[in-house]
Parts: sequence; C-alpha cells; structure tokens
Amino acid sequence: MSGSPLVNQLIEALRCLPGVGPKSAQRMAYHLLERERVAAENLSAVLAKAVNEVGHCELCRSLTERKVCDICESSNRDRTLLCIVESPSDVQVIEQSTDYKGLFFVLMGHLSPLDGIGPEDIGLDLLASRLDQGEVKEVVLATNFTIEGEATAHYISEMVNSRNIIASRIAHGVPVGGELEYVNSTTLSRAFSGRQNF
Amino acid sequence: MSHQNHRVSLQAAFILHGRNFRDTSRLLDVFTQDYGRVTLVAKGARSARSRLQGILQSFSPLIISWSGKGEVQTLTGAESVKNSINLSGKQVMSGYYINELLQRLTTFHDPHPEIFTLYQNTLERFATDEDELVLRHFEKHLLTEIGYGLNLESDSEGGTAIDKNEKYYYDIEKGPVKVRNNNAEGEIIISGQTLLDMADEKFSCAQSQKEAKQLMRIILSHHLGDKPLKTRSLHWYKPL
Ligand SMILES: [Zn+2]
Repeated sequence: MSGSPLVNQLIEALRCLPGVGPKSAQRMAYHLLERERVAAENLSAVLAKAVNEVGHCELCRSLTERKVCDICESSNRDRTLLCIVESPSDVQVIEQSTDYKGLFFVLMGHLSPLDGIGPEDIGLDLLASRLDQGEVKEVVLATNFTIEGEATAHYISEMVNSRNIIASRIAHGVPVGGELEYVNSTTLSRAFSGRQNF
Repeated sequence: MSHQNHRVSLQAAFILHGRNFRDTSRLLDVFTQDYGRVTLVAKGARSARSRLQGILQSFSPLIISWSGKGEVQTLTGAESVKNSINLSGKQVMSGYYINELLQRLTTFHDPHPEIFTLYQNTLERFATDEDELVLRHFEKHLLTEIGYGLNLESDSEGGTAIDKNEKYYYDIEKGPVKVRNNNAEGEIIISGQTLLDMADEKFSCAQSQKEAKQLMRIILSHHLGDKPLKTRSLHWYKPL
C-alpha cells in the first residue's frame, strides 16, 4: 500500500491485465510513474483512444477502428478462402506465421452447450449469410483443438457442406521439434489416425 | 463431507465441465469412479507451459489425483489413459447432453461407481452403435441407478404382460397403462412394441425409435424439474 490513493487506484486498475497479480501491478505502477512518464502518457492516450474507437469489423468481426478491417478490404487476398478462428489473436498469429492469403471470420469464442452459448452467440447467423452470398468456395476451420473447438468446427462444417462449399480442417498432430515420448496420448493417437503418405 | 485434509491418488475420472478460473486456472466438475462428482481447481492449467491443457478435456478417460479440504480441492496430477475415446462432432453434442444429465441428476460427493462404469461404456459405445440407441440405453440405466427405474414389462393396472399390438400411456408414478376409452386424455400414447423395444434395448422400427425418445424426454423432464436442459434448448441439430 502506498500513501497515495491515486497510486493505489492505478495498482488496482492494472490488475485487470491477464497474469498480473498485486505484486507485479505495484511494480508496473511505480515503473510508469518513476521512470517512464512520457511512455505512460502515451499509453494512457492510446488506450483511451483505442477503447473509444475500436469496434468489430462488419465482415469478419475482428477488431478494427473502421467499418471494415484492412484484411477484409485488401485487394491482394483470395476472397474465395475463408478461415474460421476463435479469437482476434488467432488472426494475428496466422498472419505472422503462415502464408495464408484468404480472408478470416472471427467467432469471438466457441459453442459451449453447457454454458448456454449457442450458434447465434458466436456470429454463425452472420457467417451463414456470408456463405449464402456465394463468393466463398472453401472454408478453413482453424478453431482450437479442444473439445469445444472441435464441436464448433463440426457444427460449422455442416453449415458449409449443406451449401456445397468445401470445408477443410487444419492438420493436428505431433508438434514440430516434439519428441513422441512427451506427447500426450490423445495427440499421439490423433497423429496416427491422421497420418499421410510420405 | 469431511473438513479434514484429504488426499486421493490415481482415481479414474472424466471431466464433465470446466471453466476458466482466475488468470491461468480451470475450475472442473469431475466425475470420479469412487468419489462421485467433485469440484477441483487445476492451477496454472491455462498457462502456455502447462501440459495439463491438452489432457484436461471432456470425454477423455483420465487418471487423476487431488488433495485439499472443503468444497473445492486442488488437482495434483492428471494423465490421460492409453485408449482415448474419439467422438465425432455430432457425438460430442450427445456427450454434452449426457454430461448435463449427470450434472443435473447426481449430487457432489455421492459415490456412484456403477454410473461411472455406465458413463465410460456409453462413451465407448458411440464408436460402434447407433447414437440414439446409445443415448436411450444411458438414460434408462441412469434412471435405474438413481432410483427411478422404469417399468417396461407389465401393465401397471392389472399386471398383464405388455402386448406389442396394444397402445399404452406411461404414468410416471406407476408405469405403463393400457389405453381404453378416455383414460389417456392429454397423455403421450406409445405402442406396446416401443415398451418392449426399450426393455430389450433395440428399435424394431422408426416409430419405436421416435416414441422411445418422446417417452424418455417426458420422464426425464419430470425428474429434472422446471429448469430445461441447456443442451436441449438450443438449435444444435439444425445448423443455420
Ligand atoms: Zn474484417
């Protein structure tokens, strides 16, 4: 506890960040106030602006401050390919690590029957009308490899197939650099059932 | 339950439901072989370095250990058992349904080893048998184990054996009643064949399959009370 109510308030506010407990929140607050005044001012201005202006892209539901995001608007993307992911950060990693050149659709979650989260809650009504427009020829299912992610992929694949569009699922198996001995048994059994010609 | 520190090693278990808890943990509703349902916190299970994340999945047979006292105890170890169960997407939806039935019809810290075996066999049977048949089998045996077993053998008024060519309605308290005159007003009418099929755990025709599902739904909703099942209230089976 510091002697300043405002500093305490800042420490408390920083704790909303993932993985930040009271100790690290305190360190951050002191660091910003003692050594990084300019950066702190910049942070507070950008944060305020982002919170005010950033919303969801009308087409892919990803984060953007405009009606349609850069990726959806770009003329260099293959508009017949649509990749389905659970969160905006998934778009980010796919952009950084792969040469995928199609478009995205972000669910902002996954189906979770026991939590009462159904198709409309993850924007599948929007996806359905997107598919009905006829531009998309292949849907790449890149939801997480959790049970919920798989169930979501399955549900979407039925929507896709019923419209005579191709549905594909990204491959799963032993991670690159992984040793078989340390891979969990479910992953290993999937890797075997999904083996390919070599 | 006891408030003493408690330590359980290497229990066969399945996760019925999990949700994120604090920054990096998961709070799990776990169905165990000898201890029934328990609530466990899996500390750090969501952090990038945790091996638990891939292991702590529903429908995956696990061996777990935990310790602690009070209502929420701490998972201390988990591994997946060799032969994992692979459910298709549609079967996962059915799996959520049986998980929800267990959550609604059993209580915490109430050991049910026979239901545990039933649950495990049910998940395994999805691989070989027709989904609807697997579900009806699970529902019927779950009801028996919790003390609400069905009467599928005889007319509850008069005790005569079920006749496959007769029509019946099902009185929740008593069992099947043969339809005569106006005694079945407002009731769902089912054929004797359906009752006999349910006793034998087969479907002899599409009609019997449909009626068995209807009857089970009515009987279960009686035991579930006013709150509808989440896995049945959404449009899961009719993709947009
Ligand atoms: Zn977009």
